[in-house]
Amino acid sequence: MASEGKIGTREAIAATVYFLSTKLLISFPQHMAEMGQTAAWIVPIVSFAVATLGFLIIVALIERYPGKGIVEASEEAGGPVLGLIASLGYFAFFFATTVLLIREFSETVSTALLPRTPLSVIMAVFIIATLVAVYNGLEAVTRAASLGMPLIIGTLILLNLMLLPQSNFDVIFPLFGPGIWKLIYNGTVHSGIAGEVMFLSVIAGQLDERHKVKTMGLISLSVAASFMIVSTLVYSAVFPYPLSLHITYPGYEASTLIYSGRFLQHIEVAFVFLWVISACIHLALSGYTATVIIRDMLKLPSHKPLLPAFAILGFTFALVPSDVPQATHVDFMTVKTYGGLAIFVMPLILLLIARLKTGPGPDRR
Amino acid sequence: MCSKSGGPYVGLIGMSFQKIISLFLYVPPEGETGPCEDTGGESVAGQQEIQESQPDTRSPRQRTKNRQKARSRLNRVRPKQLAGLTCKTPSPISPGVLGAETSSEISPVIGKIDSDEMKPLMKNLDENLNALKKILHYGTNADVVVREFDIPTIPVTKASIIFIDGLAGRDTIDFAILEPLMLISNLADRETEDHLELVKRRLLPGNQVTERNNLRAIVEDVLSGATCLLIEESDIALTIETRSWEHRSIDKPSAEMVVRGPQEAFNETLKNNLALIRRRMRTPDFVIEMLKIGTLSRVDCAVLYIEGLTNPELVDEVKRRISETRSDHIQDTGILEQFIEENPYVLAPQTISTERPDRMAAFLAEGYVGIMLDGSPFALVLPATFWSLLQSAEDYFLRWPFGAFLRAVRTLALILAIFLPAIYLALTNFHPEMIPTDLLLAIAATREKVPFPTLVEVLIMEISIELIREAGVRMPGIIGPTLGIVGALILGQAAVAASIVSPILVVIVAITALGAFAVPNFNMAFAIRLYRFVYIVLAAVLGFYGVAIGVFIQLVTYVNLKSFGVPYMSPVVPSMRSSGDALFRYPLWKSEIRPSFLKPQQEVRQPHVSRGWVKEQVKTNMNGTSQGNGLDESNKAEPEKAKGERHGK
Repeated sequence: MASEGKIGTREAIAATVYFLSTKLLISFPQHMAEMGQTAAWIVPIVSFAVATLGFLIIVALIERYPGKGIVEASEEAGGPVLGLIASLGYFAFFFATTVLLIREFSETVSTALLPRTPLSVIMAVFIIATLVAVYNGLEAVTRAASLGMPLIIGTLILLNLMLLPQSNFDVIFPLFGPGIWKLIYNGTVHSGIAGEVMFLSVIAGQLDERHKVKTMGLISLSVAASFMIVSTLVYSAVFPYPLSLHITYPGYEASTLIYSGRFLQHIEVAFVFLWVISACIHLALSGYTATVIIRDMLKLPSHKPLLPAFAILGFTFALVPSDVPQATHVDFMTVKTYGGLAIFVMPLILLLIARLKTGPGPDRR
Repeated sequence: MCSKSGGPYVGLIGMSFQKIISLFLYVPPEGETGPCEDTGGESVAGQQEIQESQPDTRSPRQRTKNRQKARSRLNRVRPKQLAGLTCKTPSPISPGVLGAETSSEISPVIGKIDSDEMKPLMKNLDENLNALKKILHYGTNADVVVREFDIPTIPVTKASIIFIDGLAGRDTIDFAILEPLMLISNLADRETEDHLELVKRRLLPGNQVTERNNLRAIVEDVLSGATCLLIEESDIALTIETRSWEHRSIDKPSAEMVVRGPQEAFNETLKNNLALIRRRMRTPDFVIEMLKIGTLSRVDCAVLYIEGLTNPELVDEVKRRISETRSDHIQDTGILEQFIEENPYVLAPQTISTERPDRMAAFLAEGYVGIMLDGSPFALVLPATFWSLLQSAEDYFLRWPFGAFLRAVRTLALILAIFLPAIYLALTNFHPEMIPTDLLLAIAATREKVPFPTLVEVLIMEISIELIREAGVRMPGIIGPTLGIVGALILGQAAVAASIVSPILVVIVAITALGAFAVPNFNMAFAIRLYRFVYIVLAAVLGFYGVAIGVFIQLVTYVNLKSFGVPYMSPVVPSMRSSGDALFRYPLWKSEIRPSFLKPQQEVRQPHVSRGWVKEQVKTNMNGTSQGNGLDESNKAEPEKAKGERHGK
């Protein structure tokens, strides 16, 4: 693994929370409503609970191979073929997430800020910003996340508080929407919405306090889940089901409803300003994770030579979806559904194989 | 050879190829000395040690080997993240030794040295004198003075002094060197051959007399204002401290003014500047190491730190960078700064420059390292963090709520100075819906007559402000500030009257300029001016989106930046222990630890309860004894306060 600087616990948690929760800024609440109807806010509870189990499996796998990240651990556990397949699965998840997020964030900016600017220009600028961040490395991205963390927490709290006058919490009933089993099923199948937690295992070798990786993951999952649940609840109360099915960017739409007096109006632009920075951090994290997975697979000394190729590929693939609904559909219904298999099920299989091969406890070979 | 065998083109290609290869390979120029070859890098503070300079009998291979060894020793400290290092063990080098040996070992006069300069002194006065005259270009050089005279011994002893007119004090030479030697020497009575020892002990009343045994050390001393005394049949010369040149007196600070606090600033004389700091730092652990830089300038460079407190790795790194700087003429810390900073392509300043001795002393007490150059009224403090560039000396001289308020004002000033014109552009061009309707109508009405697009309007005003600022600085004396005021007022008024710009833009540009002036660090203020133009362009092209992208890229750049191995945004990111003295200022009695990103050897600055009198008062009150000063009633609340102080920590 290339020797980059170590990152602290606080930075790692901040980055993972960012990674997990920034999808709130795009169409996440819409898809939660699709799956949970009036109980949209319960779906993330189930998904995050399942993801927590999945994360514990990932941690169990990497703890068998001290000093190694998930890619090397997978290769050690499953051998070159199965390890390669697993790593390709991880890569596919993060690369698809990056590509689709570029498109979705660009569409949000196009809708909210720059309706007359060509989408390709907005996307190119996003990619340049991501490229600069990823080039600077993990330290830079995680520290930026750590510095921006109060920003995103403040924004979410402020947004939710300012939306309270517009909220009607009667509309969240019936409490269990389509039924509790349906909710559990949907939540489990879409556990990939918290699949980004694997980021911690990818960079495990660069963590200053690697032994705390489990704690870091659990804190990140809890904080991100709280954001997701509260925000989805507030959006559900502002845009009742089935209206919520037709609103692509509930966060943005909700912010347009905020009324803070005659002087201060249309503050959604200020929110979008903060969202763009959050989106850049998210894209940098996912872009970094994708390139680092390939770096570790190919045993390259640095991820930097891969960046131009990834930038071009990202730009090209991001233009493939014909429109926003298709991009969001692919993101939530395909990547986040089948991604869960790659992110959580594959490590489980590898863990079982490793246990069969070398027994319980760390691999001492 | 190439051209013979393969024609001129092949030769040309070969030469070009060699040239390209040479660009990637560093070959030291001939005559350039390595770190170990220096024999005369003594401190100007007057260490009276003799350099044991034996004729070099080593083979070239041995010399190269030794040089490589010395370099590898120098390179032990690599630019790395000092934050990750543990430096709890004190430096094995004692302060006294460090001052003399280290400087001569690792601080060569960098660049080409004439081979004559390296020669040791001979027993023959004429030979020595001629060699010195040759090196100093005596006869051509108008300010080099050589005075030959006899010391009245039996038989008479020939002697000479050499000094630079203007650098050495005339009265000192006349009355403290020539007069005792020529008129009152009375050496005839002494039955000794060691005239040098006698001269040194009995006839030179100067307070600093140093023995030198090689030409280079003598030349260095003479060029820095000392007077060299050469005596017949002695292979040791005496250099006498006679520095006395015209210099500016200590003045008020011009760039870091404060209302409350000391009103002294550094000037161009290093000796005075060091004394100003020493006056505030009376610990024997305050160490000043002297290095020399610049092939031609050969300027004294002082590295300042507190032995036993400052991280030795940081000190080594600073010295390493200075000693590895190869340039002919470095005459100011502003130039040196550009040679030793980590990333020259980032606008953010990576060193703190200060002209205040009190501020330098405060930084040293926290574990920072200082650099001062002879001839430069600004000192450098290393490493720099983003937050330290927004701090002023006055923050600490005022009570903490006022200091904290000033910092908040400065942060606001920073944000306004960078973003205000860009936000105005983005709002008017891309997001007018955000502007309250009444204000929007007002802006639209004032812009009705303005023929230019907003971007051109903003650029006209910003460039005008820059012109006024630059002209104000370059204008002589009193005209400068007057021009600034007149230019700003008249230009703004006239531009509005001529419908070139709208009145609201004049207000925006004025606030922006004020914001930039409120930033206490001159370099930071400069960076802000340039960042502002970048953000104006981004806002003009992509509105808020462009500004947000710019902020992100700047954020990523800043968090990745390091100054002498210390993360630029520390102690905020990466999060490190500190007294909370970053964007905010806590009460001084709560500032118990030094910044941990500096890895000081002593992290604790003051005890847990620094206000000891509170503790005493609690004891007194608990024992039930009265203070007896008539303040009993007012003291009733003190035990509670003291408890709060102890338990609240």
